[in-house]
Amino acid sequence: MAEVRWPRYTGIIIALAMCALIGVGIAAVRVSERAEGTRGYAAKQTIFAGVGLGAFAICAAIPYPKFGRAAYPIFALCLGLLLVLGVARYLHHSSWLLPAIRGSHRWINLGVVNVQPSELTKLGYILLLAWYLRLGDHYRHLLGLIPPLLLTLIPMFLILIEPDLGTALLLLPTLYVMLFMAGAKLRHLLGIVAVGTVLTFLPVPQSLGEMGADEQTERRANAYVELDGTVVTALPLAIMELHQLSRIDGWLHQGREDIWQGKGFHLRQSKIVLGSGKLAGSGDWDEAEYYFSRLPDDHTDFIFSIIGGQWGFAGCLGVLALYTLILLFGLEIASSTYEPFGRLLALGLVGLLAAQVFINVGMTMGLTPITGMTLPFISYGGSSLVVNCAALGLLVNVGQRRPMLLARRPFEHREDMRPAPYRPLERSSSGTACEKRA
Amino acid sequence: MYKRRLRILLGLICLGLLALVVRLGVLQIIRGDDYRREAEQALRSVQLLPGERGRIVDRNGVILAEDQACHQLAMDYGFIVHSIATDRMWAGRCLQRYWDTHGGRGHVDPDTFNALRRRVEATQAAARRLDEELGWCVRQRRMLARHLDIDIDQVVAEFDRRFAYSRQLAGELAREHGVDLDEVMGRILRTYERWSRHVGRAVREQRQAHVVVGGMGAGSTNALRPLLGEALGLEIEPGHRRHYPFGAIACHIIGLTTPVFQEDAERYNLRPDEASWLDRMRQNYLDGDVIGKTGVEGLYEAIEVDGEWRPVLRPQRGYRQFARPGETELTVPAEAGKTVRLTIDIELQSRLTELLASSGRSGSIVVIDVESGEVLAMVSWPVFDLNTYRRDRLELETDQVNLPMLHRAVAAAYAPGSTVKPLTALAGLGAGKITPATTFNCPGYLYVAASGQKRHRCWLRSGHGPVDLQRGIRESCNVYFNKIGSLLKAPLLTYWMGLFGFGEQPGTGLPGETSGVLATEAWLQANRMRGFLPSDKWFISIGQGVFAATPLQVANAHAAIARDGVFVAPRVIKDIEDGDGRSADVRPPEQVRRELPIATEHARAVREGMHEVIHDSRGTAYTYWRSGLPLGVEACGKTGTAQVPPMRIDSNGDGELTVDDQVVRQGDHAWFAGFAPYRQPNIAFAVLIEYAGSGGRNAAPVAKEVIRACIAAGYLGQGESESGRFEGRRSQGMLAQSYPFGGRSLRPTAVPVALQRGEDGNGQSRETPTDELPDDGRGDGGLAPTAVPVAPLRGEEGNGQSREAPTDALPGDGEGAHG
Repeated sequence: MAEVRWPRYTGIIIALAMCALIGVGIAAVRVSERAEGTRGYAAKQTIFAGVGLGAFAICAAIPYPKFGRAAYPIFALCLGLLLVLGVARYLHHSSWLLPAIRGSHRWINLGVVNVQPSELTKLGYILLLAWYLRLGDHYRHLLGLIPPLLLTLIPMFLILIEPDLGTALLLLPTLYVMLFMAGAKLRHLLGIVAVGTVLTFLPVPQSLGEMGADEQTERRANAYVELDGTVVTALPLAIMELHQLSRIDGWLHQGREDIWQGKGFHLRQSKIVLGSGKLAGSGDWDEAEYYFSRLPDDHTDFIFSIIGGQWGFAGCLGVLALYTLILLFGLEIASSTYEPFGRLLALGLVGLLAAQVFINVGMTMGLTPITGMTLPFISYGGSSLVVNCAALGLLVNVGQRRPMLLARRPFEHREDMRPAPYRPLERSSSGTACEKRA
Repeated sequence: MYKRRLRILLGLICLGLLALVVRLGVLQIIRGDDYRREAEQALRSVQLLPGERGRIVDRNGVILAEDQACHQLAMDYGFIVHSIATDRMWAGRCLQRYWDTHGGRGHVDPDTFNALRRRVEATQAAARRLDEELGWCVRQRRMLARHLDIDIDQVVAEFDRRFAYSRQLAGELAREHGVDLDEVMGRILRTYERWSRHVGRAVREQRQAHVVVGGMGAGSTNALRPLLGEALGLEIEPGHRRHYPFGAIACHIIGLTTPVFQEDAERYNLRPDEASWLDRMRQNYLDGDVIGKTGVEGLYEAIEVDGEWRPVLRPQRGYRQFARPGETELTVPAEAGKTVRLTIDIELQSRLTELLASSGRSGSIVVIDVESGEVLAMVSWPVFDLNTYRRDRLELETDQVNLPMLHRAVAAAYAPGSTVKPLTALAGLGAGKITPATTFNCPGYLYVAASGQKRHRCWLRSGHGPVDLQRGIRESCNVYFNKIGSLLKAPLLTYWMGLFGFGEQPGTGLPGETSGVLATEAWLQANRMRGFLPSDKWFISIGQGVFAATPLQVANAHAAIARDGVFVAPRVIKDIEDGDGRSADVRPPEQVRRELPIATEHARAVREGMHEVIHDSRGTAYTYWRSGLPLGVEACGKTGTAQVPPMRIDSNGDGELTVDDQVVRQGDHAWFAGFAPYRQPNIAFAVLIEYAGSGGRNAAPVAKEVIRACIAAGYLGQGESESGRFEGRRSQGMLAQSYPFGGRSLRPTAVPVALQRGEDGNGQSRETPTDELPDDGRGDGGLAPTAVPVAPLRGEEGNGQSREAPTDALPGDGEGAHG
């Protein structure tokens, strides 16, 4: 069914860029390893990279419509795993199989590696959403937006209670990119955003009664008003855990020196490490490594700071260029694929990658609040690397197989089409009238 | 539509990337230098350079105290935190020590004990909470991993092994040098925890090494270096140790340095919100520093000029700043403390110390240069060795009988006895109440009470007969001076005594300096709850009663006679010099100088009398002075035999001194004060020998040797130093052995209490003029027959010894000087 030209140049470039990013990642993990005096991370990351390349190959080789047909079972599996974790969290259960690490139930121990179902869920979610949105135009009505929103909110909620705020929030931009590109009405989308914003700033009264002194101070600091014994805060702030609140605080007041030693310490250290790389990095500066050791989580979430510190502006630009390359060719694949599922899949994957890169890199330099989220392909961590490789595999997969389309172009909805301008007696060189007007 | 949305998406993605790139450019290119500087600043290391404490030299520049190089053991803060946080035994040891010191005595307070337990637990919890512990462990492990090139699992095991080894090594070193390591570590942790709480974040001291064992000699350091190879978080640093070449000579004047206490640090140190870290490191007392506590070391640690403390002896650290290891960026040299030059002549001091030592009794000798008021020598016996003080501390501090730590010359007040009689005479002359020719009859007592008892008897029971000024001084007639006292009345008499410096601080500034006791109406009301009694003027006129003075005050009063009535406050500090010999900007305080309203011929008349004390065959010191080698110089002097209650120690442990407590010393204080040479006095002196008996018999021969020593040292303008340049160290060895604690010569003399009481009681009931002053006995418990006055004068200074002169409660025998 599919027209296969193997290999297409887009796939090759994406694969090369991915390998380059993985290489940069291993090098950066090595730097942080030297700085922290730990060993074995880079080696393990290399093994993960091998597994990741395998996943990439598998995902690229199996014709992607098969994934689409398996989208519901895959998503159900993901939800099942998340549900197991959620129950474990609810029961405060911590065991060899379901370990609670730093208070979070995110991992399932498979003996050799800890697997993060939330990472897998990202992929399953995109597959499902693309499969769901590929046909029809029900999402062009306001009520038709409810099923995709529900499909988003269910895994989001399950991930949120792990708790893993970063991954949970990642689903929203992905959903929006896919809905937007599928042709949902802009006013509906913006309306939902508006409602969301109102909800975000919705004042919620909260009693200070049973809180500890620290928490009371924290809640008070972020409150709109305080009435005796009760603070009125924004809805998300009322739900957030204490450490999340203080992170938000540290991000909002990142210019204040008194914040640097406490709430804003992580961000400040990250900015110092990043900024001290200057233009060309601190290659000849011996103590850089020593300073890197003062940055917590430097081999996982804050690996970009290490890259900035070690290889400077040039190195950062290079890494961002590699991401840009992947994103651009991903968009190219999306634009040149006419099969609706493939197109949506490619767009979802591109959106997910872009959101991850923006949030993570932005977080290291204070553009976005600090959330626990990995930098794709570079951060240390098996689940993240393998899932991201698989995602790119799917993207390349879409790029390689461009099924013949015997229908109208997908997502070209009739209402959106304006009548063609009057062009008397002009001979069209190629394509249909519809295509020209698009 | 789709393509348009695709373009919008592309635009959004590009916008996001652009935002990242712009932000990146701002951070790395525009503000990159700032961030690099901040990172470098955080990594910049500073090595502190210890400064040398200032030297103390004598008037000729002979070094009395100086800093010698030594080594000290410093411990990383992380090490301390890690060992306390992980040491389960630590809490146990803390509580055990508390139990040993408090509980063992049978009155442990459960609340206090629980409070301590909570504090111990809080300290441990605080230590465990600190990120620094983790950071330190990680850094140490990283270093180990790099140096040994081993795997992460092995590193942890190796780290634990080496940490245990280091802990053990530090513990052994601390034991060897008498340091309680747990206590020191706990103190360091608590101090900086408190600082950290104060400023609300980790202070830099929490990343530094702290000295835990100081003053290690080269020997132990060399033995240590190979052992340190395997240790973590320990380092040997250069430091200084105070050294006193003369050991015990002038120990009370030079004074002690001790390791800095927490309260000192809290008092003087700048807090993090007051000064930058570097300033604090330079100027603050850090663990292991020494601080002067007593004597000149304490007095000139720092002096207050215009409300701010300027260091004198105390050094200021320098520092060497490294941009990166091995690359010195900046060196600020340490500032050594200033040199304090004393007026003391260590040669004379040493001779006089030997002299007093040979008398076998505790006492004091003071020699003052008449012209300038400078103290040439100021001996207090017993002495202690400054160099070994720390080792002998317990023995020295707990010696209740000999009180070797007491600086008798300035910090102990004694009844001056007959040595003040020339001053009483000067008061009478100066006030115009008598003339040199005024004659009083001495029948052997002052008056006969209604009961028929003879009151205020002269020491010569048969009486001196008609006594004029010169005879009064020469033969020390009590009645003569009592009558001068009667003419002057008590307030005027004490006013005149005040002019000679009694009752006021001499102004040397030495820690513990006392003003003695000189009764005034206000003082009596405040301290004795009574006004002047008629007997006060009689007692004070002969240097007894409500009258106590230090040997320095007595010597200085006699110096005023030698100056024909000019009072100059004594001084022990000649000047303060910078290291390169220039006179420093900090100066010792100005001397008080006052011309007393005394006619020169009156002063000369008194001087004649004092000359006859020694050189007239009827003088009280004549026979004792004539024995022994002739001096070659004529001197003036006055004997004194001050009657004092016996010295007791709290032998039954009830916390107060009563007649039931054991008497360890008894007898009269022997005084001899005067000046020499006779016509043109160069030196004035006072000799006090405690509980020695007659001043003429016991103190005068010593005084003669004092003058001989001064002649030998060249202070009388006649002789040169016999032995040429003085070799202090030679005599130091001899002295070190000549003061055996609790040795025969200083052993407490046990006197049967009953006998003691009987004698005192009889004497008192016989002599107290109860009939004339009926409220005297009741109003002043000290006069009751059985209650031998034990309230010590120095009790006001908190010493609690009963070795002082009685105040107004005198065994009424008046004066007992023997001619």
